Amino acid sequence: MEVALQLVLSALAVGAIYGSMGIGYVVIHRMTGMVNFAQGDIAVAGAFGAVVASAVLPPLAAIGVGALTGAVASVLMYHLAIFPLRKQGLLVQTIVTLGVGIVIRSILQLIFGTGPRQFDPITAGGPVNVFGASLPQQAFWVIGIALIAYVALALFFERTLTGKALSACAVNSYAAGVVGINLTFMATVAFALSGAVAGAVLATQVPTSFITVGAGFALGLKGFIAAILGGFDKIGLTLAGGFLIALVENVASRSISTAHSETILFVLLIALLILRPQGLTRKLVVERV
Amino acid sequence: MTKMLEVSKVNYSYGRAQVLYDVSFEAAEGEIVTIIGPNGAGKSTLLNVVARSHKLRRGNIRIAERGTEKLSQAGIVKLGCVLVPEGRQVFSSLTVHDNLVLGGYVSRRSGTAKATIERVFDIFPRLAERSNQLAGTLSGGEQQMLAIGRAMLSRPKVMLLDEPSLGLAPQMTARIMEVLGELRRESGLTIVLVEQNAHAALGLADRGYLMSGGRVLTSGTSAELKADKMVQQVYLGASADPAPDANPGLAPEQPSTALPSEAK
Repeated sequence: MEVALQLVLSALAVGAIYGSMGIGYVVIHRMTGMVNFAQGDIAVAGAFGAVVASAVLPPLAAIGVGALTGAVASVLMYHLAIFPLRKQGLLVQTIVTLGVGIVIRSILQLIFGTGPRQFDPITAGGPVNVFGASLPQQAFWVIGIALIAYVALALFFERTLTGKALSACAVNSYAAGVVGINLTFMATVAFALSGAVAGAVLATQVPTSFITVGAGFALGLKGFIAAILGGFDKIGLTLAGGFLIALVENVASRSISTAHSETILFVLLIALLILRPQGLTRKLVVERV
Repeated sequence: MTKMLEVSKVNYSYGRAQVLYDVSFEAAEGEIVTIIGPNGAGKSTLLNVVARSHKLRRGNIRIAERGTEKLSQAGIVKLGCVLVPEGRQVFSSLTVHDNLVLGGYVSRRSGTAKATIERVFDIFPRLAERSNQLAGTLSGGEQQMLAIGRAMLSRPKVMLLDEPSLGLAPQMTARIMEVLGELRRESGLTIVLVEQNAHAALGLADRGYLMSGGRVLTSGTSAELKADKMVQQVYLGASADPAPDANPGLAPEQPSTALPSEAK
């Protein structure tokens, strides 16, 4: 029982990272129709922004800087690499994001090297015991910040005019233009939100483990699976998808092999794409107008 | 009377295929102007260029006596010119209310928006009944009402309507035309109406332009156009031998047997 609880609690913390990564994919996809494979590397850039800021700022403020760094990196990517290719089609734009991811990784490596980086947790002290299972205090911050980001995004889409306009762009970009919604501005907002959420949540994880410049690709792929589970549409289901992925990883690591947990995960991804391409949603989002 | 819309010598091409050739037309304040013509005449392209859904490359467009060359699509809406596009183009997975709210996106005045939404609901009570319903689940006629209502939210001076009767039952078409007339009377709205239903359009409009092959062929008051031999032959069913390249759109109005609720 304690083991099961430990697996679930650990999965909640790691799943929050995968889920927030996936939310980034969904927010950009809903607005533009493209898939941003640089998402993981942008989150890592955010985490390194927090590492740098932690030298002069307390951890929570440093995480705020991490969010800002992720947002800036994401917006820069949009305006320098995606916007100029807006007439080239989604496939070209999506492929370019793979290249952007490599560029971000190389720049981070030039600046920070390949070694791991870490900073102090938000709250000092030992792990918290939950019915025999234990979790570092920082892990609760990771879960909390991911949940806050989810609620803030949900409220943003439901309650604000800009959020509704972002949804409108996703539904019918031609009509959005007709009512005077600036599509470039909306895409900028989507990229900024996506980078900020991923950057903030990953930065919050850094004190618990550490961050390296090469972490982005694998994180991005797991976020991508979470986005698939959310049907590339629902941010709540994407967050839940992130938790499921982490749980599968944990169970596979414990019962089969740590070395093969990712292999098992990707085998499950292929099975998922074949058997249930709509993920956890009820229907497949085939086309955006 | 103030010229609310002046379009002069507008040209437009899709790649190498030119579809508009030196097109000029104008509409005064409170005037209803119709542009009729067969499929492929360039009518919809023209409206999209005015609304800047398509980029203005050659020619001049003035709205409310102001040049618009440097304005974006949002700038055109802010200036008071809004397009009700062909095929309604509502935000199908958003509610009726959210569609209307988004119509006022450029003005962002919530107090004014509430009053205008109430006004839209007065004009189209069916939309009030379906306020929380997803727009994609509405009938074609209701979606057309919503598209017009959404355009009203930007509090326009000029409303461009692209084929508002397309796919609608005659009674629904009549209701839409009636509403456009009311809007003109109440607020002095200038309306530019692109239609293939020449009978309905000329019945409502003060003046009209006949387009074909990307050019304006003729213009005049509605009475003059109704009397024009070419218009009669091609659009009003006065001849059994219309021009071979012409698509007359709807045939002369048939007695209606459909109820408004049956509109597609």
